[in-house]
Amino acid sequence: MMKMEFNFALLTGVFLSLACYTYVYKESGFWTIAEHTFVGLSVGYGLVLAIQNIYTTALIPISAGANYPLIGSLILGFMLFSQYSKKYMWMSRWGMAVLIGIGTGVAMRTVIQAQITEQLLATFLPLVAKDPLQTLNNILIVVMVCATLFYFTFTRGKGKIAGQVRLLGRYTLMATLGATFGATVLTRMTLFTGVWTFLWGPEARFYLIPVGIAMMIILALYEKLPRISSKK
Amino acid sequence: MGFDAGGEAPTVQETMVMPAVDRALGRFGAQYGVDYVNLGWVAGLESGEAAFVNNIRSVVTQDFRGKPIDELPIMKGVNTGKDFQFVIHIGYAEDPIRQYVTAFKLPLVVATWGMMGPHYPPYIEAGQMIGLIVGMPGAAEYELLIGMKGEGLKGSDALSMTHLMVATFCILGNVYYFGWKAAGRKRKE
Repeated sequence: MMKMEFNFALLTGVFLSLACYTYVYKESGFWTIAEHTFVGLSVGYGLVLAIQNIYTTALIPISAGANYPLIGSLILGFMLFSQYSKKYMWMSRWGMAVLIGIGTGVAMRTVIQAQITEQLLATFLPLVAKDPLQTLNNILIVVMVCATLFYFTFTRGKGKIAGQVRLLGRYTLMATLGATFGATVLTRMTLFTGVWTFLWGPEARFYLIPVGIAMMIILALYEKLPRISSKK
Repeated sequence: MGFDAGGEAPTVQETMVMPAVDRALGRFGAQYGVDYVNLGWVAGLESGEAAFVNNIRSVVTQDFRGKPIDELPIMKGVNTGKDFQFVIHIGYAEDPIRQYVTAFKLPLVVATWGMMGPHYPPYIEAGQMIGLIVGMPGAAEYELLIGMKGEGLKGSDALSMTHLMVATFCILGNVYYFGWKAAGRKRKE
């Protein structure tokens, strides 16, 4: 027989997973505990990472007499906290402006080539290939890309043909959005099976049934008690 | 060399990815710090990724375990994207395409969750990505391909059953809808 040792981390994992599922029934106290624990842990973890990051990438090099320009970055970072004062709130805009400016600049540096030029070039496909399926694929890509671009560019053009092309563009968009929606639903299923693979794992399942039953009893009592007391 | 520009991954790397890498590379006698390393978190999302590939030492001074990177043999002579040969990215693919592929012409493989699957094949067609693993089915296929059966294959049966369940409910929903419509038409007649 398998020897079991008490595992607090596993018990907490099982409890928090089941607590999240109580939301299916209603927004219970268990759900609130799970929600607050998750938010608290995430924020705490993020804060520790950020402090550690500032310490290793800025404070240590500055104290070692190198990378003095980082002092400017630290000041701009501290200026973001001026958001909490109505009088000095304007100071936070400087830090925010640098953040947004650098972020946009870094992305824009390559976005034209990465997501416009290269994608456009990939659409210039031979309409007749050696493989008949490849031929069909190429024709579909070219026609559907053109139809979708037409749909967005010539929104007001009259005429039967223009209308048909726009319709094809719309169907292409619908097919793409449908595929994304379907994939999203199925991804949620993966998360669900992932959680239940954990809960029904060889060790976690010993905690699953007692914890689940205890939670159901507490939820039932929590529901019943106010009614009983109101009858009295 | 592993690093994260998101925020939640360093611990995931240390508790899940690194033990798996230890197990996989351990067979070939690979060692931490010599053949692989976890550089932890780099702030700034895409800006952080760009800074990392332009000058690693400007954003990382020590690894996730607190050891200065200049003391690690794997980091000798490695400081920019030009020193990399290959990138495996887990998550959204747009940032690495812009910062690693377009800027440094690095070959990129992406492992992403299922919902992003329909968006990324155009990048493969354009040659900006050389491989794509989508969700658990993709992980299962990859495990089968390399002959290392693991969590992906283990979860595939359960996933197939849930997919079957979703498909059944879709069919039942449509049957009910069209039946209800036909019944309404009959009532009108």
